[in-house]
Amino acid sequence: MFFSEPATSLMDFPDNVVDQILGNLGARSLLSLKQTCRFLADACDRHLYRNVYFYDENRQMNALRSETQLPLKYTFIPVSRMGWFVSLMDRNARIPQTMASIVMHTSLNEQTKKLLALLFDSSGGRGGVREVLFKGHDVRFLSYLSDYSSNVTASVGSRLYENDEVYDRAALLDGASRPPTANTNMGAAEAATVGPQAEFVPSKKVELVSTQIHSPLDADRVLQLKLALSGVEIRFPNAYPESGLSRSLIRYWSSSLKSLTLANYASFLYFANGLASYSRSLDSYRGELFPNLETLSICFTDDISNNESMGTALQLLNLANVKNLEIKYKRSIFYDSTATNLELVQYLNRNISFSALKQFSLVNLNSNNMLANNIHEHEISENTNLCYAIMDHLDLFSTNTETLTFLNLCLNTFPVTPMVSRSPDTGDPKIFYANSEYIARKKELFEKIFLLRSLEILIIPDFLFNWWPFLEENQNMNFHQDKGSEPNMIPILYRRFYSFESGSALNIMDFPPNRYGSNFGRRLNSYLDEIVPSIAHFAQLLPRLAFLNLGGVLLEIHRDARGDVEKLSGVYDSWVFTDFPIGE
Amino acid sequence: MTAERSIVIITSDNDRFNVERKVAEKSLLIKNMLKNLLPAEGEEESDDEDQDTIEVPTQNVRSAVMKNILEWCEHYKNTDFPDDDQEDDSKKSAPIDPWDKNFLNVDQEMLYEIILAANYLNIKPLLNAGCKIVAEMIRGKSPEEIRKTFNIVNDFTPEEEAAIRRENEWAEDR
Repeated sequence: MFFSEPATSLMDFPDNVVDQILGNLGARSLLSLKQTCRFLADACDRHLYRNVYFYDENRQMNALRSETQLPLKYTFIPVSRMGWFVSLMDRNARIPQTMASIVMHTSLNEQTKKLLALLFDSSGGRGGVREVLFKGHDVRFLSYLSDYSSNVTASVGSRLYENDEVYDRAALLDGASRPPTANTNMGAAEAATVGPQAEFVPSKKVELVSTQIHSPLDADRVLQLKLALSGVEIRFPNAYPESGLSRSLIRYWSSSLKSLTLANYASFLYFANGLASYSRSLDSYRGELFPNLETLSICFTDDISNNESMGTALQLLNLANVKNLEIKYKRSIFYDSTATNLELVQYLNRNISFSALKQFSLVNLNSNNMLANNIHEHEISENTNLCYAIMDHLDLFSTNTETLTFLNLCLNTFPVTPMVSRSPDTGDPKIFYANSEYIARKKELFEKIFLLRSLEILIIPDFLFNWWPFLEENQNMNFHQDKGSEPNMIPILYRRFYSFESGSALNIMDFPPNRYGSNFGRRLNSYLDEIVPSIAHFAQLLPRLAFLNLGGVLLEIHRDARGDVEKLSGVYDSWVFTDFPIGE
Repeated sequence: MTAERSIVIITSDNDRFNVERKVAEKSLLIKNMLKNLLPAEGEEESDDEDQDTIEVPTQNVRSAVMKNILEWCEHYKNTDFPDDDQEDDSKKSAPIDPWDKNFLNVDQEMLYEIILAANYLNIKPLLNAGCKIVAEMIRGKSPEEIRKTFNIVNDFTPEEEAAIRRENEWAEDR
């Protein structure tokens, strides 16, 4: 971009610079900026309405309330204003054309259908909305989309589409359908079904590149609709599926997918079963499939009867380009799976480039109390639990990473702990005995976080009940048990971000948290005052840390030009702390 | 192997800056330019090059701005930034590096010129930091305060202004 006079106003910047500046602003700032002049009103609309999240104001907190530097991907609009927003879209054609991604925390009803129809109609097959997600439990979107596309096809016929457009798209899909290498087992009959000669369903109005799959039937719909997806979240109900991902979809997605979320083990099994049967000869595809994946969220279990397809599937994947990785682990049968776990960790060490990893999330999906009756306490010191094997042996925790900016670490998803004692002589087997080895091990694991010095966002959802009680010598380990008639805040705060069973934590910061504990007021503030030394410790040892979520309370760390902490503030809570430096 | 040729950056007001290659190459514009003129570091240079100096004209950057730009490049000369560093969502979360924040603590005109120069010279991390500083200057301000800070003339009609306020009503009282 050439220029001759010094810039004196925002409007003197080239469009790409204006867009980059606006990309750093949240909705509140954009709404102010939009009111300054026509040029900036147009520019702000591109950002305000590009990614929209309709949040449930009765159940979720409002991200607009505070002026935070948290880079929110979405503009949050209350579901109750959706009708008004639909009429705004109806009046202003520019808005639906701007929208690329829409997330709805509501069900598929007449209003959402009207909104979707406006979106799809406005795009006319040229850009437009790329991603539609329902964050609730509505699983009917792709069914609706099939019906919608059929109606469009029936009503307008193919006359709207020039032949070359149809074949351009068919060719695109044909390209996307090829395996990543020339080495293919595709039979002639199968090849014929995906070539330009194939029967083509013109889904011109729908150009989704990212969506959710709730059932094998949904997967078939993706195929019928010929959606050229680059991002897929498979979110099956927790029942194990009988079938696997189809061969056609494996071929489509192997080349096209950049992001794959297998939300739970049932979803992973569906994926793994498909891959295992796809590969009649493992060596034909070893390390070749899905080479473009940049984001992978995967859920393992210790259920040994299913490990065969799991292992086969992993051998087929090419994970060289993965930059955002989530591993969830559902321990369902308590036997010693150390060998399998260590093998899995070695597999990850061989196949993931940790020096280029940007985001990592590790979640232990325990559905019962890990310390109750002193049954599972040994898991922390041994590698029978994959999560601890990962903390001990994954190269990430010994690599001098400069790229990792995001870590979510949740090793306990059951936020109610029993009474804890440092003494073995309590006489009550229900009281967990935290001996010195247990405490030392806990500290050893915790210290590993501080090796990741490039972190900018750190989330430890189980901090208040699974770590903090054990980190300080003089810490009252039962502080959360001891609140008289008041409700225990810890499990309530934890539930703000507790959707690990149904989704990925890699994008957890993009969504508003559940409205739990927003009425704790002064009680929460004094609680946060109490953990300021811990927060300061994090901020000191992780020099780039800007956002810290401890147990459900998201905090922003403000630093001065030297990098020293000058202020802490809640993003969703009104707590502020400025009394720095604090006494150590 | 011949001695390394020196690189001279010439500014719009004809000042000349002698710089190390790895400092100059923080600018992808210059890096690509040099790629065509010089072999990569470590490669054998051909013997038929008869000039000792490579001159890189930058007509759009004046001397005072270039001095700042080169100070930034010098500071980061040993830092590897990926050439294809796209402005993805995770990048947006990065706070401004304290050194950058201090470095960009200049008057508004110079800040603008550094941003424009970083854009022209294709120095993405510097452009990114500059844009974040400007975003910080916008954050928390009313429309009138933003107009004043950035010298923006209100060109709305009263009707348009009222329409925008109505359009924004979904965010009020929240």
